[in-house]
Amino acid sequence: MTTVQDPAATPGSGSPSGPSSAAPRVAAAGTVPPRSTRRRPTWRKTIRRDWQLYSLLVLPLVFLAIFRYMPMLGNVIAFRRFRPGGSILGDEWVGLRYVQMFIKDAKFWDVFQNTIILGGLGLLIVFPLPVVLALLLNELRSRRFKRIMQTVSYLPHFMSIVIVAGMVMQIVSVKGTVNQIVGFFGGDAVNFIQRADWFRAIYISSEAWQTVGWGTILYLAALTTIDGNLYEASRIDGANRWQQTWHITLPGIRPTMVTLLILNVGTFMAVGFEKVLLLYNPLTYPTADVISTYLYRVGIVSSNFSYATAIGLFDSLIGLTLILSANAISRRLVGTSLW
Amino acid sequence: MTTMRRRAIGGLTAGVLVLSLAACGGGGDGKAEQSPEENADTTDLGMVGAMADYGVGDTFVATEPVEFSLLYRDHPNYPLNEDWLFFSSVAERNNVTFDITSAPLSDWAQRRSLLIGAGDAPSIIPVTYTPDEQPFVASGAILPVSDYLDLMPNFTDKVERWGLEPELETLRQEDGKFYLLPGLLEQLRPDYTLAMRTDVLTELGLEAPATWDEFAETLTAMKEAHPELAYVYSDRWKGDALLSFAAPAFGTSAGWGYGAGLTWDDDAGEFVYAGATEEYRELVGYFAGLVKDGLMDPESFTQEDDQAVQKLANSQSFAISTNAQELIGNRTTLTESLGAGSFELAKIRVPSGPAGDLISGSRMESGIMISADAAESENFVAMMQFVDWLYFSDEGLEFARWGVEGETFDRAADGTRVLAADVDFLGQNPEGTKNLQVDFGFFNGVFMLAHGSTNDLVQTHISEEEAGWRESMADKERTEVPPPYPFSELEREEASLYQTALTDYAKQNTLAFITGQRDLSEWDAYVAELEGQNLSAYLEVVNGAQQRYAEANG
Amino acid sequence: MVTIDPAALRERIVQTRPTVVKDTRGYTVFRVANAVVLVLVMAVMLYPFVNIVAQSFSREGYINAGQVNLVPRGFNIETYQTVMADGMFWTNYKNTVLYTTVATAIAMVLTTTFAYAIAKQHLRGRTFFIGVAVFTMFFNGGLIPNYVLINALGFTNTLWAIVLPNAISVFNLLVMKSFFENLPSELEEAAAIDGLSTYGTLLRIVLPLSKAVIATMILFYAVTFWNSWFSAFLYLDKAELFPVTVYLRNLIAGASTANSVSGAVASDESTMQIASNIKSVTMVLTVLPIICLYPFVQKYFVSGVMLGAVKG
Repeated sequence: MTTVQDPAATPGSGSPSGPSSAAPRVAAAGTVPPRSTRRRPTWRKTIRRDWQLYSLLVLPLVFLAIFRYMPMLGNVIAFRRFRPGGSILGDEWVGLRYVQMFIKDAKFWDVFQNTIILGGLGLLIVFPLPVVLALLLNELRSRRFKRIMQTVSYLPHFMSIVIVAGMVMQIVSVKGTVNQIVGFFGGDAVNFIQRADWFRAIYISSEAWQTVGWGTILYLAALTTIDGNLYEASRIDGANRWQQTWHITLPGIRPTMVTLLILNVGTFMAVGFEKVLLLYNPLTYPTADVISTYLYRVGIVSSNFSYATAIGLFDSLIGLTLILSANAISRRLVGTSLW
Repeated sequence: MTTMRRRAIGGLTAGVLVLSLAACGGGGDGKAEQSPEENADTTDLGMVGAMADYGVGDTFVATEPVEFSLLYRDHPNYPLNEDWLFFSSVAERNNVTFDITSAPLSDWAQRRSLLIGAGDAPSIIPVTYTPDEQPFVASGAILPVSDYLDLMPNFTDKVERWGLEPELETLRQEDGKFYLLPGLLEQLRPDYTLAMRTDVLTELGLEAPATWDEFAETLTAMKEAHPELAYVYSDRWKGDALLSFAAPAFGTSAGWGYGAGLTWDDDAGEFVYAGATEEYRELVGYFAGLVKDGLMDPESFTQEDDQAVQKLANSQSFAISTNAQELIGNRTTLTESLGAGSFELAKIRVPSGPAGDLISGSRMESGIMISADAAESENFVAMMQFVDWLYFSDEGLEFARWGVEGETFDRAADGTRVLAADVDFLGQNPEGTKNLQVDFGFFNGVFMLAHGSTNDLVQTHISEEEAGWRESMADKERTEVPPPYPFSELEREEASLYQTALTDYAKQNTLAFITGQRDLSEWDAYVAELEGQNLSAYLEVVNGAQQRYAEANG
Repeated sequence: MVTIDPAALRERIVQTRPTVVKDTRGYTVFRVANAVVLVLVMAVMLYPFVNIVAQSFSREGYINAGQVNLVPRGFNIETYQTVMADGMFWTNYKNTVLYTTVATAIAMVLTTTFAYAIAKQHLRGRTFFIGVAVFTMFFNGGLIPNYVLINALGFTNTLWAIVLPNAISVFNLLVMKSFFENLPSELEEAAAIDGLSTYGTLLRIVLPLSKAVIATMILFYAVTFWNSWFSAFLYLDKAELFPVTVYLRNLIAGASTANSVSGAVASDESTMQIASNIKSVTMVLTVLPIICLYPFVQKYFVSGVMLGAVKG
């Protein structure tokens, strides 16, 4: 009995295989030997050969330089005393003062932990859900039903956070839907929004509800690029639907999944400020307070831009490290990586 | 890493460093030193357009047309309209026009902060409440207006006449100057209190409670009459309004009024932390009792306002915190849900408590900041005079609030003002087709301070009922104004972190005690935990600042 | 020259799909369960939305009493009329459409060219360019430097302050890059043999094949720009230049009463009654056009055109 061949192993079969560095691509313009064995041509030659490609890069690079890198200089105020109204790059050097300030601030580490936990939970729970939904949608035969489902699943993404927060609070209120169900099963009503131990569950559920539909877009787009003939071939070979899913569909969207996973790992610390702000209250500070909301409250008292910038840099550094590691690990383990 | 790449990165880093060093070398010059005298040297200030002889009772008329830049807060209820009678009138009578930078209400504070921070702020920045001006003091971006009071006769006159010096003191910063021109009130203008279903009270043969203990009894009676209800009182504004107007009666401050969490202990001559005092404990204990006895809904402290109003509308709650505006709205809601005539909702006088019949509040309201670089302008004196006239003179206040006599209002024989026939406002002239705010630009929070400041003006436009309520509140004793404790820059940075941590913890536990999540017997443990949050360090900074200021300024 | 005819392709796929082979029993059960689960999911997604739409058409009393569920009670369009009667609303709406269109166009051009170039494995300095982009995903300058920059460029109160600063989303860039990398190299080889330049290859071969990802990116960018208000808040200060999101945000702020941390700052000057369903009306008005956009974009998601090209 022949097993279904893993399409990922066969290059150029039309199904998306990751840009693994194991299989060096042959350049379109003639036969250039693999990079490791040839002497590197001079820059002049490279530019002459690829000038069109480089020209495509010019505009975006200029854009990035002006609108992203120039303002980055402003981060220097993390190490200088900034007075609103004084020089925008700060008035005098204070070195690591603000860094020490937040390192010594016990409150900061509490909210840092909360941020990590919320972000981590989001990654763990909310990330796989769009994949599952995409696969389920893919199983629908009726194209119209599928389309309607898709459109409906996008709706939560468009709801404003203010409204979502209001709704969540209604649903988990003492007389709300959740407690009604609990009562139906004979339990006591729980005041969820006031309990610090319930905040994470509430937050993650509302995140999942709001983002799962939108998250399927990329996966569904990836699914359309899977070669239908593979399914034919596997069917002839006697594979059932589950085996098809496992051996064809999943590997087919694996590059997308890995890409998104790496990106999400890099940005998982960016826990939504507005939603937490709307859903939390002093009773849930111990679990709900994240870095951005903490800074918001501190900022109201002091407008300390330097402090906020120092923390921001710390955040960014972590994010960058994470994405670099995730990328490296992914390249080693799976063969797919962002670059 | 190849040499090429290494070089590229090296070059980039070097470039960035050079640029930033150059930038910080070039910029960042400290602003000119503030002169230490009480009033700045006014001889070389820009006098173009200013009146040579301007005092109380004079109408400001610029000697030549002048333009002032203004940061305008756009309120969606009356969107900015450059054709307003307000603007044309000011241009005509006072010879003044505005260069307006508009910012919507929704993001007003951030926009203001951004503009000042970026050095791009207009000269006149209204709608500023203390302590919002404090972060901008150190950079010298805003003007220490206390140095220029001799240009503002109406302001100084009112401060004197109404005895506002102690309150003005609290605005002073470390250098002894203050940087905000606050809106002044002749009399304290309370607005928040409890609204109760007075028809239910009558039904039960009860009167509106005069003390908090009586309030608890009233609620108990209501509960007995309605055993099917889980609670008889569910509040809004997350309980912050309630705590803020109830706290003075217990001798402390809480909720919105918590502020920096400091109570001035006159006997000890120092500040103590409000959240750790016995008075605060009593306040918390009182409400914890209400919740425990099933009288007050614990959700009051976390639910959205809509939910609280819903409960009121469905007769699941018979009291709610309110202000004059909301009262009207709630009545409409109740009319829709219960039917007109089947209910009565009215404000009660804020009950008195164990500490007495006290009320706390400030007679200073939203005010104006002036950009520091306005002092360099040639129209500076004219601008200060105009600001003084519009915001602090009786004539200017009346103008900002009522408009132009003969056009938007008429003066009756006995001096009372009446809206012009065609003009409506607050439903007081239903036949009017035009609205005082929307169509003419008066009663605009940007141009009118503190609802008119003087009692005469503040009392207009309010219903009889509201007037009656205010009167009943007028005989409450005012709590004392605490002394100022202006921080230095470094102190402020330190204090802000302590303050946030302490306030968070205090609020968290306040709610925990009240809702029953934490038992009151643990109060001492809680105070000990507060200590662990740098309480002493915080008080040290605060008291140190207060003493320093007291010694330096007598 | 490689030509692809999606319609013919689809025909062939449909024809070759066996319609006669029966599913296993297990699979049928699964399909039924799947449908049920999806319908439930759909209901959970749809309910809040229907609720909001119902609220936007309901009378205030019913909303405040919490009696509005799926169907409007006391049907009226008053709040809609109030909002839409304001000329500024329409001005701002037009602004939003303009900003979104221009911003999406610029973003697509920049992102696509960048993604295509760095998708080429043989491009020298490729890792550097990718790094340059990824770095900006984590580090940014903050409010004031950005404001000062835009001010210095003279873009305040112009269209450019809205459409330029966020033109490249690195997230979208990386996704596009992935898709381009997954295009089989035989296509480009064939194009090169036919004598096409890089530009030609990009325009004539790659882009038509990437309809799915391009459609997706357009959707992502358009939605982001449509919902954005932050740039407008930072760089615009004339009400007639605002996008409709700022207008509506302001409306909601004016309708909500005192709720500040530092004190009871009530919106006290005006006591005009603002409808309690202003939030729901706001949401419906903002969301409607985008939801209408999706069906147009959706048809590009269905053309899985990889296979035919290589074989044909």
